[in-house]
Amino acid sequence: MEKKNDLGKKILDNLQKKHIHPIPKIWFLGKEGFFWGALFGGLIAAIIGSATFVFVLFSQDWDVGSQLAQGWWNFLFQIFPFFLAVFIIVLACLIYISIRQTCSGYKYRALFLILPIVFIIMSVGGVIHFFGGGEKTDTFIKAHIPAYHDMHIKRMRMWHQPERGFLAGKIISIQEENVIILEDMTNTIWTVHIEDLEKYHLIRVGMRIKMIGEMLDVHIFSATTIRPWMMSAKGIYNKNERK
Amino acid sequence: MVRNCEKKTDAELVALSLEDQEYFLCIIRKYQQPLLRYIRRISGVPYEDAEDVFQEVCIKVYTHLHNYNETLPFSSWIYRITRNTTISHFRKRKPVISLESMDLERLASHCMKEFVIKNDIIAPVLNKMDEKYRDILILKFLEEKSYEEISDIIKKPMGTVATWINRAKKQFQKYYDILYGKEE
Repeated sequence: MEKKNDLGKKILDNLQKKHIHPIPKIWFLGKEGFFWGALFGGLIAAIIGSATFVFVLFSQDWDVGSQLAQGWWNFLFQIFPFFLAVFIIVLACLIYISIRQTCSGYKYRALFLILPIVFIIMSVGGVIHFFGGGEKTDTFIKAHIPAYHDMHIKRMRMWHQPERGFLAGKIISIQEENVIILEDMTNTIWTVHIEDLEKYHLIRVGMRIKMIGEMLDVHIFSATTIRPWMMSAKGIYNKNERK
Repeated sequence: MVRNCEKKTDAELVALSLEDQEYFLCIIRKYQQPLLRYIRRISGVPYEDAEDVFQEVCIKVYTHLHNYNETLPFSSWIYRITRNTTISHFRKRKPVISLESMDLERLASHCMKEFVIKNDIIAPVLNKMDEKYRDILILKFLEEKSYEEISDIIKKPMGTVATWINRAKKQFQKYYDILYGKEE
């Protein structure tokens, strides 16, 4: 018993002698706050990333994907937004780690944390995409991150196969009622006949469009389908974008 | 001056220790024997070495008093700090378990349906076991902690604690059979 008391006293003397004091509460609050901040910051970024991911997937031409890329797998490989997928996965991991670091984060099984995180990211991201958030973010990233923009251009290059009936570019003039002049992705000028269009579309100079049809001659194309450069969450319309 | 610790809860003692360092002696005295025993159980070190670790634990507990969350039992919190400190203190060497005969007997009785009470043959079984399984058996059957307390101490979900205890019992039986042959 004496030994026990001695040790306790020795420890207390040691604390006093070395002037050891409790670390201020603010330090622990700051640490906890940091993890919660990382959690919410990561969640918001992941949701925005997910909205953009959904937008990129939905804005692809799935109906002609197989013909465009000469096979489904090739099409999927070309259009899949790998960058966004990796971005979302990294953030989801960050969110998971942040939750685990909070004071009661260890109480939950990994699956009970991972599933809600994935569900929240995808569902809220889907809703934001529906209200046009994904498209806005996509446009913003394309304007600010050249590498991301290049990936988009690479996807769009599938539409530069005039000999196979796919052509895309910017309308530079409307000559007559049924003829437009188009500048393609390689800056080549095309005369496009649109009298055989299956559906009529409002077009104007400066618009970017994609066309399905037939190459009649060198730099002469006949379009049967015109579709917008990008599909929006709310429907079809044209976007003025950088090429 | 020794403070009066009687009838005071752990949470009250923590609050008082933050105001008056002398009250921390109450906490030290209350947990000294259980924690020294626990340190020796999981590390196998002599009493004097366990005292060194215990001192280190007390300093950590005192400096982190503001980090104590009252929704958690104080005992779980102090056991968590003790476990982590002991593990990091002896990280470089594999602990050689030398439990007291009574402890070995208690452990074996929980892990096996039938066993021969020969303590000298149980210790090698424990030494062969994975550290995490051995630790969890010690917490459950020697420290007599509940699943919730163990969950708070090792910072794992309760479901994981239950799974590990189950696996630990099986591993104990497996190594016993490997070392001494299956009893018919």
